[in-house]
Amino acid sequence: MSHDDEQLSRLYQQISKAEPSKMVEARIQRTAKRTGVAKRRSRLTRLLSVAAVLVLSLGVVLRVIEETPVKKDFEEQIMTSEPTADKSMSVERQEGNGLDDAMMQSEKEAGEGIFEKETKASRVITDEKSGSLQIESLSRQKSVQKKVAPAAAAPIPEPETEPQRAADVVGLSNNEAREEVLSESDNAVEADFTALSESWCGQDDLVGVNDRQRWLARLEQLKQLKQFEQVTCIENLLDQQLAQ
Amino acid sequence: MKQFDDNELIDQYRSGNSRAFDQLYQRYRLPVFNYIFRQVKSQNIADDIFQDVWLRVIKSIPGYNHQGQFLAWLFTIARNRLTDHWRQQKPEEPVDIDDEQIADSVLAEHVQFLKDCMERLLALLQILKPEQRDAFVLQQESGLSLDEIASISDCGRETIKSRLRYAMNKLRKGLEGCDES
Repeated sequence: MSHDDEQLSRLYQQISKAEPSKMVEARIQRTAKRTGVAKRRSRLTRLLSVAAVLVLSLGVVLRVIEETPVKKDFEEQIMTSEPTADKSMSVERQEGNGLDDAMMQSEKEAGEGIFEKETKASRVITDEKSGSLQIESLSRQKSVQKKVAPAAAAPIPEPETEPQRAADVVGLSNNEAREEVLSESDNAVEADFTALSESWCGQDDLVGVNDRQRWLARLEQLKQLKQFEQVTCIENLLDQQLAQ
Repeated sequence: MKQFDDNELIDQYRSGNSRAFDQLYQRYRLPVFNYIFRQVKSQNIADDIFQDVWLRVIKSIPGYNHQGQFLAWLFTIARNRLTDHWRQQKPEEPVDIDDEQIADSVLAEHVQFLKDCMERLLALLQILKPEQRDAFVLQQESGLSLDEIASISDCGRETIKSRLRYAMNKLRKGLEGCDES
């Protein structure tokens, strides 16, 4: 810079400096302050939010840590109980197989001893397993009973004749038993006659009487008295009885 | 009170210390305002532009990087704002007067009113070409180097050097007789 330039610059610097108005300066400074405070506040807010997130995360982690042993214990319990359950299930299965075998045998031996085995099996389950498993065993037991019941209820594959059955029951000879059966069949006819005599044809004194001879005697009396409606009624009654 | 450099003050302001901005503002308020005022010649317009410049600074400080000089950045904003102002205004007719005409006109019209050389200098500034005046005032107010002024003015170093040489010559001729003062 030459001497003249320096003189010119010095002269320029001597010129009185203009100043911005106070109002403009106040506005600028106010804006700067507000922006700075806002920044500080936003920073504080950010710090607070980060702290809140950290606290929440810590809380979650602590909770997880607290709950983990419980889960472990629970899992251990399950792990320790599972073999027992398996054992009991295997016992049940074995017993079930035993039952199946027994059912097979029961078809030949009329199912003796099956319910004892089933009861034994269900007892094992009841001792070693939980309530739900007990229910399972009970339902299983019921189903087994349903399966076994027909086998137990089918020990009469061949129908016996009535005399044979009576002879077996009472211990009579075949002839005696045959007579007994015939008298039983007469009683059955009387029973049928009674069942058919609902109206009794207006013969109030014979209501409930099953003696055929008495009805025939009454029929003759009514014929003599010319009570033909009642005669017809009694005759129909006797015809129905005979038809039966 | 410890004097922080510009970048330290900016960092402090970004940290929420508004007093750091006050220091920065006090340091550069007059150079910036006079750079504007010497060109627009109106207190109100200069106030508006000045306020706008500093509001832009406040808004832009969060994204400011320390690679450049704050003062150069500040004057870049001021010059851009002035350019916007000139675009909105009807462009000033450049006064293209040769040296003899400058001297004659200035002295003829203002000699009786100019009490001293400083007033003559201010009058001479107004008849400089805008880019010459801008380069001269920017150099006088900011104290920046030719390279920095070239960067701010978005032109080459030699261009700035040429503008400054023309401005100095015109002013020197208009201020003849002030050497003794």
